[in-house]
Amino acid sequence: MLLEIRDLNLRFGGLHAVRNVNLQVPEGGLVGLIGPNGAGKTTVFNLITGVYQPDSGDIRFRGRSLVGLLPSQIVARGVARTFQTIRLFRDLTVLDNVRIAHYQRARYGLWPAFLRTARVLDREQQITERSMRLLEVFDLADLALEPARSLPYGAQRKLEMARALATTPRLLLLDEPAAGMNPAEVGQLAELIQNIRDRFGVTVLLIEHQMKMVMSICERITVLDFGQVIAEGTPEDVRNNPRVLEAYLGRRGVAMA
Amino acid sequence: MPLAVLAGLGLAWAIPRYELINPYYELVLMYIGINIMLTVSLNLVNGHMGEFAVGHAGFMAVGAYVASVLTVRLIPWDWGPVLFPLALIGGGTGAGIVALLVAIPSFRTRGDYLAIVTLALNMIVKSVIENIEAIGGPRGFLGMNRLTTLPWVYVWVIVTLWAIRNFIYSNPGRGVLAIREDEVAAELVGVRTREVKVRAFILSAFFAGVAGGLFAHLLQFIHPRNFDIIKSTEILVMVYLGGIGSLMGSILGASIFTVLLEALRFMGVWRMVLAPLLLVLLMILRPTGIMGLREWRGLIPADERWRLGRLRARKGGTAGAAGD
Repeated sequence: MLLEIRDLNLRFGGLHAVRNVNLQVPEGGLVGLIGPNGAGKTTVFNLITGVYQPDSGDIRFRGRSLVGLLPSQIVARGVARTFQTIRLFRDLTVLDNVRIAHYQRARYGLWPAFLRTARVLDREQQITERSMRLLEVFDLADLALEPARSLPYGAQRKLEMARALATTPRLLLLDEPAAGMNPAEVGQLAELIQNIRDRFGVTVLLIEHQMKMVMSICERITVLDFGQVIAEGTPEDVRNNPRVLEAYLGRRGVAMA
Repeated sequence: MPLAVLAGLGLAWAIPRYELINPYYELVLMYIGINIMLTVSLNLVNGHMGEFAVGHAGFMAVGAYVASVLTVRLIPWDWGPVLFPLALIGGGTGAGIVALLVAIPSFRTRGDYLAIVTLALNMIVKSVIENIEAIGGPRGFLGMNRLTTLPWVYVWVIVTLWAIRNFIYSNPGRGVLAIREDEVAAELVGVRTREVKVRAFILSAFFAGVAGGLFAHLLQFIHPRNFDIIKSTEILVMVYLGGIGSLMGSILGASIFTVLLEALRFMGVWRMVLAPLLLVLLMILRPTGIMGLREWRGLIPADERWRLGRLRARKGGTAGAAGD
């Protein structure tokens, strides 16, 4: 297993946000994480990437625990993510958004940077070229010198993916990449995600509300509700699971009444 | 650009040598240079990194006193002019060490807290100096030779601009910009944000310390009150007047403000009202200043200018794509 989450727990005061969650993502897989709003999906992403620390349980990536590491250290291990609410470096250019993500791969220190040595010039050229190649994959190369905030919404989501891939991850966490897209765009996105996986050899864990997309591209799906895993299996298993239907259609209403 | 820098050096050397201008104007030029150093260095933290540090004069004070003690007490009088750069570097290093001591605990907190911590630091530095009799306490410290000359100021302004420019346009410096834009996202694309912040803070303090050393050896008499919160406010005004996150903005802000302050000498004490008032007006009317996150092309490293020029040309041959 590339990623293995065991008995993960997180409480925010009285709210048990993540409750004994177990999740497995095989190397090369495309796994979906779904559930109603507030089920704790993004919280799981925040735990994996070190934004939150779990109260108990373990997160093992390539056999080593990620618990207690800083987010930047987790990135160095090979985990990258995008955000549900877009978090680009808005005032910087599209190119710089991607170049910044090379922070841990620049391979030159502070003193060469001050002196702007030949090595720095060489590495900066390589980082720029690599960034441009990534932007080309996402059809953003022509916008490289525009500020990120000027991009249309869909392009901003793609830029977040390009930026995440610039860190050379083994595991890519996508948090609702299709949010706010129209059906045609969602179709293209589904294709793009599959392309990325094949082209970059990256494993994908995907949070998504667009059921059609999740069902069509994910090989396995885990369903969360109230911080708990209520189902796990192939799209077919999950679709027919009565607890999943209940979670989406009924129980929330009942519980709140 | 290198030619312009050399020509400037020639001019900086020739002005005092052949008395090309009135000594008062020469003095104002030196103040401008020192203020550019203070502004560029504070802009790194407040503009490029988007934090809000308000006690820059504290670092200036540390640099001024350390450099002065070095030249007066340690370095033999005759060696003064030769070892002056070392004394200044000593002053900058002293300020850098103080910055490190402050940075580690305070950067764990966010935003407003840094303002409070740096404000407190400014006051602490001032009262510590006032209470050390060995360096004159509240009476001030004197005995420095007038080692600060126009060529030295010029050289240090160039070194400051060059070092901070190279830093900003490199991998460690892009981390600084990322922190301003979104600190959480920066950390999550691999920027080691604590490391970046501490480095930027130390770099900023170092050049403030060197500027303090130059200031001390220009006045030949320093006093804790030279480095109070009013001085810090003036540096803030120069940053926000010229433009946050811009080297050219810092140069403009420092030059305009220094000249303005000199031109208004006839106003006497009322002059002191100018800085706080200007700061309030700027924050309301134009919080990003004259340059506001933009940069003059000449202050972008040549290799980066060339790369961006090529990208612009690539994009369907739009006009103005020349990359020199």
